[in-house]
Amino acid sequence: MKIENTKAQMRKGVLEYCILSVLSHDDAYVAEILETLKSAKLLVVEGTIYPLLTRLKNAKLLSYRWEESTGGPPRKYYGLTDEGKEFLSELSETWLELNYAVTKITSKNKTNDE
Amino acid sequence: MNKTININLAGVFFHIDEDAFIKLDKYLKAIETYLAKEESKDEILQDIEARIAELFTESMAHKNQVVNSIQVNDMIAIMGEPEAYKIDDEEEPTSNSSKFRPSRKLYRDIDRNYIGGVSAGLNYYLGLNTFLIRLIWVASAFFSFGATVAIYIILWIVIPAANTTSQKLDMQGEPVNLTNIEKKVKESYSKFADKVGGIDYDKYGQQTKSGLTRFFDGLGDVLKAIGVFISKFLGVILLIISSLVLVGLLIFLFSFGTISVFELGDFNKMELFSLGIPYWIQVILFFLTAAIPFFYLLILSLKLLFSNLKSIGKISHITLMGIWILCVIVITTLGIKKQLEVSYDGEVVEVSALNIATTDTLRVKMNPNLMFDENINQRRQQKIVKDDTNSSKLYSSNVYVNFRTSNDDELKVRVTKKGFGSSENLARERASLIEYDYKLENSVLKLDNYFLTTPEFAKQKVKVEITVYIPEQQIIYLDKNLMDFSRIRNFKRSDYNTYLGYEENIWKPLDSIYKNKSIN
Repeated sequence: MKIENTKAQMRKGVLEYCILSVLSHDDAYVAEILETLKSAKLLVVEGTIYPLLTRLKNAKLLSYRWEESTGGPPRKYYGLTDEGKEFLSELSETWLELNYAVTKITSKNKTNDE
Repeated sequence: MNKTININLAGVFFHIDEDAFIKLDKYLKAIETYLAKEESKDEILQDIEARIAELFTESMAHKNQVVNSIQVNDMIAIMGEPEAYKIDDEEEPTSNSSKFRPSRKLYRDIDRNYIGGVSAGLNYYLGLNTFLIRLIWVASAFFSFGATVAIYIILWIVIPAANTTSQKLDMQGEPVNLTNIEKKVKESYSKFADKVGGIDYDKYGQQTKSGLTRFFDGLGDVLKAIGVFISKFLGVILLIISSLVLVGLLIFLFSFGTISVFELGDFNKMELFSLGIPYWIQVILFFLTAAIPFFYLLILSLKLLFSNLKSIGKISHITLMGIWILCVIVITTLGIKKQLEVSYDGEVVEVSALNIATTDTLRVKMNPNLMFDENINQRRQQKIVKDDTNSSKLYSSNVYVNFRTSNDDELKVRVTKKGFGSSENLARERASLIEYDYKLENSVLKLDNYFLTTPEFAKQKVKVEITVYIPEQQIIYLDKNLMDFSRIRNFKRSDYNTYLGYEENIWKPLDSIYKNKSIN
């Protein structure tokens, strides 16, 4: 088993949750979403996000509108749909549970090790 | 000095260095391979292209700057290596497939289109001159009375348009022709040979198992290439058959459909297939029943040949299937109804006694009417003729003559007219519409060798059976022209045109009777 694969899998699972969270505050276009994710060091390269966004859109969790931009091509502004909001609140709960569980288990292990 | 290429990324125009272009092209191709299984691959690629365009625009000092390799490298650093685009890690694409340049794909070239861009797309795919392809379309449309236009429209619907840059590159890729298919087969064969040959001198100590695995891997490649070749070959044959049949059916539809709408021409020959509905509806029914399966065959052949075709959509499928089933049901029902219409026989019988002296010789012959037909000695002729009053009649020589001995020493003729219909009464009514005549003149019984009836009975079960009852003591003479209309037990060809007498329950030539008598 390669460490890179495991890392990537862990990161990708969380990534969906984070994208939805970023969009829960306000609609954003890809570069803005990327900036937030990159600043938190969750994402190193941009490529991963495009297939993810399209999948979320196909799952009807996201919708988008076109907006003209100065200089470049028109931009896709993504926003949460009602389904997306529901999905996100459920994910938040799961995340809290997971977070609690993981912290508890890993900290116990640490104390055992010591 | 560096050559530049003009490209269009998500609608934005860029000048790009040739080496930078090759790098970008490889990058996009590699991403496409990684996204191959993704449902909305095209959309994702468009998004990626848009982002790349944005990155290029941002990194440019002024508007007319040329994109160079450094910018492409920077872009890749930001966007990530192609592997980064893959979400699921079920299977890593092999190193071969990422290096492999995909073969040319069929797209519609919407940048050089006259109508749908089909011809321009075929130009890339087949390597034939666009003008020539268009000329073939126009000429074939002209000679097939526009039928090939339907084929064009089908292609227009199922071939996707080249929207993204990578699709445009695919469209212009390696031409798919016999030489290239052969090359592919050879390539995979030499790969196979390398792998197999490798056992002998390469890694001697290796286990045979890995050698075998390599052997089957290589064999698989060769079989795959042969499979591709066979499916393409089959595709071409099916394409030719189905498009020819479709064009033929369309011509049938237009020619027969329009002629019958204006009721031109004589359709008696089509009476056999008539379902009792207007011809043009019947023509459309037959057309749809035959054309829809061939339409699917055409789609199948296109799918075999071109992997990237669009579906015509669920609704179209359901509609076409529905129409086809409906047509089959209508044709079957009407066919059964038609069959029921002729399922009953009915007959009208007339018997009359004729006056002839027993001492006279009775001659019997068929009485043809040269006005109607010159094949006077043949049964089962049918045609439409004009009678004395110039009205159309069905002429039929479906006449059969029987001979029996009379039990009351009277010459009698029994005429049975046979008709058809959905009930016995109707069949009898129709039978009574048959006009048949015979006469006895100077001891000669002249039987018409035909009957007339209404033209609607063409190709139907109408016939006339005549039985002549002859007194036993009568001497008879049967004309040779009866031969085809009657079959008499124990009768030879030489028994016609001979005087016959009745003895031992059969009619025999007189000389043989006298011979017997003289012996006695």
